Amino acid sequence: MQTITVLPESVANKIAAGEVIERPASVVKELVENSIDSGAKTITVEIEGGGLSLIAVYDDGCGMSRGDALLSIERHATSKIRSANDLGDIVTLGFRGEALPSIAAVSRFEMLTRDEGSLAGTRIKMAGGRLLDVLEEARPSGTTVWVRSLFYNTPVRKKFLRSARTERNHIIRAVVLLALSHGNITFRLVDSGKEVVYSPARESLRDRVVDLLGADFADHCLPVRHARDGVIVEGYAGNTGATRSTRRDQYVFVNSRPVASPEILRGIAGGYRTLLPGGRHAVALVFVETGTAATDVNVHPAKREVRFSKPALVEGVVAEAISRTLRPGTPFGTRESGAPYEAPAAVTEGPPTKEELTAPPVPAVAGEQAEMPVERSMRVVAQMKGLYIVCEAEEGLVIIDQHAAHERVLYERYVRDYRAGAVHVQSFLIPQVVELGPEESSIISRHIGGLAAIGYDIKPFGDRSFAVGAVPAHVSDADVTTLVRDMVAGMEEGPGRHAVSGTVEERLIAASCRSAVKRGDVLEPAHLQKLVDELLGCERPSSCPHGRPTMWARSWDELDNSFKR
Amino acid sequence: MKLKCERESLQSILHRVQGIVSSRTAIPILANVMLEAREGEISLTTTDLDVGIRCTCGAEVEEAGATTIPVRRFSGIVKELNLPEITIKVSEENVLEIRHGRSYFKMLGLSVDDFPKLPDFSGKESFDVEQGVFKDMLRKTSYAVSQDETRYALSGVLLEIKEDMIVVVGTDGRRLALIEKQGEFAREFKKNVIIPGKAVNELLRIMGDEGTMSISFLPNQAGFRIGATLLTTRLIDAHFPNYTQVVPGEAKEKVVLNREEFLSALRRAALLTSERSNSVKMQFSKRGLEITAVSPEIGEAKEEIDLAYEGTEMSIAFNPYYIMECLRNLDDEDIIFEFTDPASPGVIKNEQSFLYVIMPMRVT
Ligand SMILES: Nc1ncnc2c1ncn2[C@@H]1O[C@H](COP(=O)(O)OP(=O)(O)OP(=O)(O)O)[C@@H](O)[C@H]1O
Ligand SMILES: [Mg+2]
Repeated sequence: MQTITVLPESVANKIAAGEVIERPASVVKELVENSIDSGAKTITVEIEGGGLSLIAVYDDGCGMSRGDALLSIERHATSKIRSANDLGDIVTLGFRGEALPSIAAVSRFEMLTRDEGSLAGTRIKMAGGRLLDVLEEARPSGTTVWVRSLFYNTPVRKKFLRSARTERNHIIRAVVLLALSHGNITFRLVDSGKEVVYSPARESLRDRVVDLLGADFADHCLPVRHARDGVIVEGYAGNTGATRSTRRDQYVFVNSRPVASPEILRGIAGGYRTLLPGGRHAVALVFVETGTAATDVNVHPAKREVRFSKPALVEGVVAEAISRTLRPGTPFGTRESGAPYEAPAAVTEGPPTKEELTAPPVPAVAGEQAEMPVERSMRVVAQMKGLYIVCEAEEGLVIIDQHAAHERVLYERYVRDYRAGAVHVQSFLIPQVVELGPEESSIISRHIGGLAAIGYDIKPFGDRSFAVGAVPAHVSDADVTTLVRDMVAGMEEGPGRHAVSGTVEERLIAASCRSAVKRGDVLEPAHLQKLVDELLGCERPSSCPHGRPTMWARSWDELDNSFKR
Repeated sequence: MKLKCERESLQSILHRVQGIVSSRTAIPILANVMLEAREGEISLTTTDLDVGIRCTCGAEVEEAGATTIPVRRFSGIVKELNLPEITIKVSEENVLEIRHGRSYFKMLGLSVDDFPKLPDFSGKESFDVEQGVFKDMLRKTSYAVSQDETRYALSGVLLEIKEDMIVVVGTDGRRLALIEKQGEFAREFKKNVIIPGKAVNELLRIMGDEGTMSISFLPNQAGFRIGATLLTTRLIDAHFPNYTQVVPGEAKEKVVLNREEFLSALRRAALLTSERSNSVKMQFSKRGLEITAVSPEIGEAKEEIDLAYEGTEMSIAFNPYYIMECLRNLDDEDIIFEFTDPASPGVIKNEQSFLYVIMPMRVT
């Protein structure tokens, strides 16, 4: 047996770094949080190469003395809490004293900082966690941190990163989230000399939302404000016309901290219950205040999750808040306040994953669904919940997911048209202008050529706006803004996530199918049968283009067995 | 309330007001018609909150009063009663009774207090137009209106009244129909409003071809008085696109086509288009005009129209239904079709001041 040894500091830091610093966006998040905690009024972030070449964060906060600066890069050195008791009452974003040493352990790290009381600033240079140099240098009070060659000494971590584009999008989102929750600070994000986010300090949340998420977002939202039993909910709830195919546009904050909270996402879904078609998600911006005592932030290494002392209460109050906003005049149910809130019967796409908010997308489906033997014909027996089609096949009982099936049918049809050079494209008299958020614009800009090939003429039209001049004829009159946003959401999932393997154009088509899909529609029997027949005529009928299964089957034998026949 | 009136007049005004009542309204009283009996007349009113219609006919009123009753059933009774005259009695409690010979009906109404009031246009300045002229203008533009409610501004026709001109425009963003009339409306009147598609359809239903009608406005409402009928509608509060920007300048090529011939050729070619392959190719050459439709999984169609064409040979794709809708609503013998190149809009004109702009399609 080996003897137990205490790990050298440098190894411990590298391990901690693995948990705290997953990707460039984590560095940005930690450094910006430090700047926020330092009382800065203006925070500027500069990145190059998706944050892998350079991340620099400048602030005009309180800065540090030489002694504190040297302490700050030690593990568990923090000015923010003194004892375990303080953990129950954390008002700062940081509290672990782990971020700086973790970042320094996996990069070439430099920091220049000065507090009001010091004459000169202190510059600290480190590489791979080793202190290289400490110098004196002039600087107005505040702190700058430069992080270069991130993960240069942890090649495994580096291998898991995605393209610089993707990392950049994660960084944008990290900055946007922190900026949304700190309206009194001016934020700026500059990528290779180009400003991608600028959000001046603003009095009103709405102005901030317009700066960061676009006027279009704000225009489709209603203000939310509600409180009960010590839980305060504020923010914006998108009207039921503005929906998305993912939860990407649900921004959730607890005590001014952006978090992934399944409770709150469930509360949002509960508030919209019965108002949205299946498979659609509202846009929402939800700030929950519980007071520090009712929420434990010390549960996740990257502080991405929180634990509520009363999770059901938080979920219930969020649902009420949204519900009251959307259905003014009707109080949420008739339950006495305080009664436990029952979770919505079904959230169509399963419980929200924690990753959906702040974390990188994780492959939801490993690969293409195993092809099951598919029958030649099936008889439609019934439709359930406006979603499932029950069919009788020769071999047994089959239940089909109407949306997934329709998506598959459309996808194969559109791909066939595309390959045959037979996409009929209709121009608009006046191009329709769509305004997108910074992240969305960055995604769509990359795909303009591919989109043109599949029949969407989209041109940049000034800052974050795009002019849509033509769309495929099969795209109905639908709202072009929703359409483009859905496509962006679909594209962002990237190759690793799609079960569709194919050309860029084919993946774009898969993304475009989403918005064309029948949702929650109660269809005529003849219509259902036609859809089932068309599905059976597909090349890969058993999964949708995004890799979800389209059908579920039980053989007659299995049925007989379960009835002990 | 107690009155006697001619069954036929009552039935005809019921028919006029009934159109806008939806059978599935969330507010029960909106399924009712309001009856108001005054000295010598009875008036019926319905509304769906956006559009309202009031229609009046003569009656022998013994006792004035007002009530509301379910319009479908009431109109069923009026229709089935095989009599020249009907006597209607309504109690204070809104119970309506019709008794005749061996028939007896009793219906429960709702109080008029809960019935939404139509906007009041009295004292508002109004201007008069020939019914036939205005009807023609609406007919030639309303089919182009967007059916999609999310495109709010386009879900109605633009009615623009300038000093000596009235302009009506309908568009769904892919094609645009515009008609202008000069002269007849001279008045100190200036207006620029969007009338919802539903109100336009009702107007087309109740307007006749003879006589004048008058139009008046409130800040967000318009009222159309046609004889004994008043139709009111909420106006669409949105920004209508600048249509002058859409009307192309001088086109390069111009052909004159027989409307009927063009329409029936398109109709036949369209038989072989599908939801996705919904374009026809119009090829102009020395040989004339050739219209083709090709759908990979259905088949193809080809139609030829004789035409003396001296211009540049070219072929342009259009959605045939857009052209057909336009042609169907014109009455001219011949129409003028103008085009420039496969990427520029096509234009249909007639001898009057009608203009139809249609965006081409392309196949990638
Ligand atoms: N930009 C800054 N301005 C002023 N002081 C800073 C700044 N960044 C870090 N510090 C100081 O350095 C200390 C260590 O920072 P670090 O981010 O490592 O830990 P933390 O913020 O206390 O906790 P956590 O690990 O949860 O982020 C902080 O407690 C703070 O006192
Ligand atoms: Mg920190």
